[in-house]
Amino acid sequence: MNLELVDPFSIPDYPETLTGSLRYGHATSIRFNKIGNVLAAGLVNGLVVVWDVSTSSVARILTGHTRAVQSVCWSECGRFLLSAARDWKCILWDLLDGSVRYVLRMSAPVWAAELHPSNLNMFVASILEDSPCLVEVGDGIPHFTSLPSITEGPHSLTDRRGNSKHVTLVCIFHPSGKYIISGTSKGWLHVIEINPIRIRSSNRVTSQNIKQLRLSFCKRYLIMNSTDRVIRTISIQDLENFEVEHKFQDVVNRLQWNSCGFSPSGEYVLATTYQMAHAIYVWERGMGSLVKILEGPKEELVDVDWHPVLPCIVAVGLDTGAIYMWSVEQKESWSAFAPDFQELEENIEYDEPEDEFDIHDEKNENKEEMELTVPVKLFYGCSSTNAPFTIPLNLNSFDV
Amino acid sequence: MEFSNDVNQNSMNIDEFENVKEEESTLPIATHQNSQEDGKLHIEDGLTPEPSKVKQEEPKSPESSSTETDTELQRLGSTISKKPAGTVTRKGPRRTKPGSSLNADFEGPAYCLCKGPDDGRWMLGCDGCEDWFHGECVNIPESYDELTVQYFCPSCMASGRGVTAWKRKCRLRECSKPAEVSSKYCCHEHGVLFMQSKLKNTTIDPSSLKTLTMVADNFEEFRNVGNQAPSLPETILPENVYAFERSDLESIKRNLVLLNEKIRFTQEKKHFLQLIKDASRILVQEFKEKEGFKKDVCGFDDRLLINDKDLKDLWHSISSEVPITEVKQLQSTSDCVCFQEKRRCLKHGNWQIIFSEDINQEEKDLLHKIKQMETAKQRVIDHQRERAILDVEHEGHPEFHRFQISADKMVELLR
Repeated sequence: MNLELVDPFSIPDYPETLTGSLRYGHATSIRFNKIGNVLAAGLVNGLVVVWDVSTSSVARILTGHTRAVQSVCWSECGRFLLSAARDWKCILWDLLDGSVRYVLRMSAPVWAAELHPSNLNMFVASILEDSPCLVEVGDGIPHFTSLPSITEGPHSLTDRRGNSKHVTLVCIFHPSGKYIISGTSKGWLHVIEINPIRIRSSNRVTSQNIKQLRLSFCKRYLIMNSTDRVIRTISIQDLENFEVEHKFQDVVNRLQWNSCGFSPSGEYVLATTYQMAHAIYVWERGMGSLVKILEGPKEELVDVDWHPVLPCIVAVGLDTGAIYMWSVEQKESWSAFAPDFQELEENIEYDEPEDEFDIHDEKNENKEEMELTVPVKLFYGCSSTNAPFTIPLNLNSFDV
Repeated sequence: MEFSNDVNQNSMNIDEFENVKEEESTLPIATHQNSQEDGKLHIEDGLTPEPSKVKQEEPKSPESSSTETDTELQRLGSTISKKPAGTVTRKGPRRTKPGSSLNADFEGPAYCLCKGPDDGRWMLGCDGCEDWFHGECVNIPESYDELTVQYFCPSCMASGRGVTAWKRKCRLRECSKPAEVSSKYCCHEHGVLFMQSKLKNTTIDPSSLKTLTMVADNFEEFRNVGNQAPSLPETILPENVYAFERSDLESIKRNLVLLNEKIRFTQEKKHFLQLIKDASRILVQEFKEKEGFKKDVCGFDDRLLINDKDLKDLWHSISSEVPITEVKQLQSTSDCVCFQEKRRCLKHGNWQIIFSEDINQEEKDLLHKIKQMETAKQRVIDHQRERAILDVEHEGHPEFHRFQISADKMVELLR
């Protein structure tokens, strides 16, 4: 859709209708890249599918995992993709040629892996029944460091008697890249320094499991999904003291939430429901009020993501693995294209005047033009030196 | 009685003709007919001498000539042999006889089987009995005029004086001229015409035919062309190898070497996994017996978590002399094995299957990549071979030659 034709004042903030779905295999997790031109999806059979958003078609299929891919994470430049799967492996893909940068085996199935904001060779992985692991690949040799879950002394994670253990379930990097924010099963949020590994500060935010942590696009807020059926937005400006800004919940039905996220502007927050209602709830952050319930698919939605630029929301269905897409139907407004364009209701027969195509005296015209020229300063380049990475067109190989 | 004999004789004569049993063609060879008509015109003048009589340069007695020609007949009849000098080439078309006139219908001597007069029809002179025969009476078309070497009338043939001898006729159907010496055609043009007419019915296109003519140097070689299946030239001339292809091939070869190494490594890993599985099974068995455990135990060995880099060191420590694939059994210490109850151990659930599938997937990927490399290499080599063949075919045909021209030279040529 031609962005020049879109009336900038008429784009809604959030989508209203289900416009389509992307189907290739059974997806489990999805992520848009930073500019929003591609969508990565991890499938149940271990494939990682890269979708091109503008054409809604498959751009690449990456093979390597043998079990379900649990999470996909893009690098800042958009060229690398980290996938974590239940086959205990984390693979970093280079999308320039579809090759593998590194493959690392963890000690157990991996729930989620997230790349360091600036360092491709570092990532943090949350592991089943185990403490999360900070991995650094230096010269091809990986170093694994477990992250602590509790501040007091050496801890034992394996408890044969089956008491509920205090384990870390989710980890994300702080936008600065110097800290890891982890959420535990007892509702604690730890800020862990990387060098050396130690817990810098802890906040008890809730009393139950913290299931998911995601950063907002502006990187100043955190959204947290926990089993107490509350979605919390937390400001992470002050590392010592995390302030809970808003709490979102469904008071009526007391629904559990599957996954949550921010809108690109940060104005809205969305979450998918667990089991009963197959919908996406959208709240407005200013007042904390519910503005929209997106319906459509007849199945539970597990993973959700908001497009970084357009008002487009994608969510993965649990039963079919289809990726549903909600967006707005744009009306092409050709009058926005140029100042003297007018939208017509019907065809108008135009009789050109006699002097329509006369060749005017050029000298006079040039003089007028010169008077109108205004010196304009041109900016070349901007702070980010590279053009955003786009997946190259691969016409030679027969397998996508 | 005579007639019947004659008829037989005539048919025998006809059999001797080579490819002949043809009626006079509808496409008269113009020059020949004109000359005939010219001859007829001359008749009125009455001045033309008997050409046949004149042509007797070296007259021989019929008997002697017949004995000679008997042996020559075989040759003449079957091969395209040179007409030996000195044989009587006397034949027909006698236009006039001295002293005759067209007005004398039934006067004059009686010739031929029909005992008719010489009334201007084409006649053959028999070399045996010196009699003249109308062409129509002895069933020899006038167009065979130039083809007769010796003619014996039916009665001479019957009495054994001699056998009619013919020259080889030009191969072109419509032409009745004799063929040239050592040739099947009377002239070059007829040869061309004949071959063209043959080509009309075949399925060979002209360019393939041309290639066929160029393929062999002599007849023997040509005969042997179809004996073997064609093979591509084994060696590729250096000038056919482009620079970028050379580097491409080299990089492909390097990649193949790397990939093969990786495959070997993967197979070693496979074997190692099997060793660990076996060892673990034994350990688990021992543990169950020792502790009295009824339920299944996980048995996951931590050594499986070692990354590829360190794996080689581990193998070396297990068996330094022998490669890991030779090792039959592995010692397993209980401290690196997980003894959790299998059902409860979520962490290591199905580890055997996961690891096996993993190795198989790796192997499959590597094999796929190797195959891709091989096809790419083959493609490059095939292109080179094609170019080699074309160069051989187009040898001597400068219009097909590729040559590297620099841009300036090209500009010059085009100017």
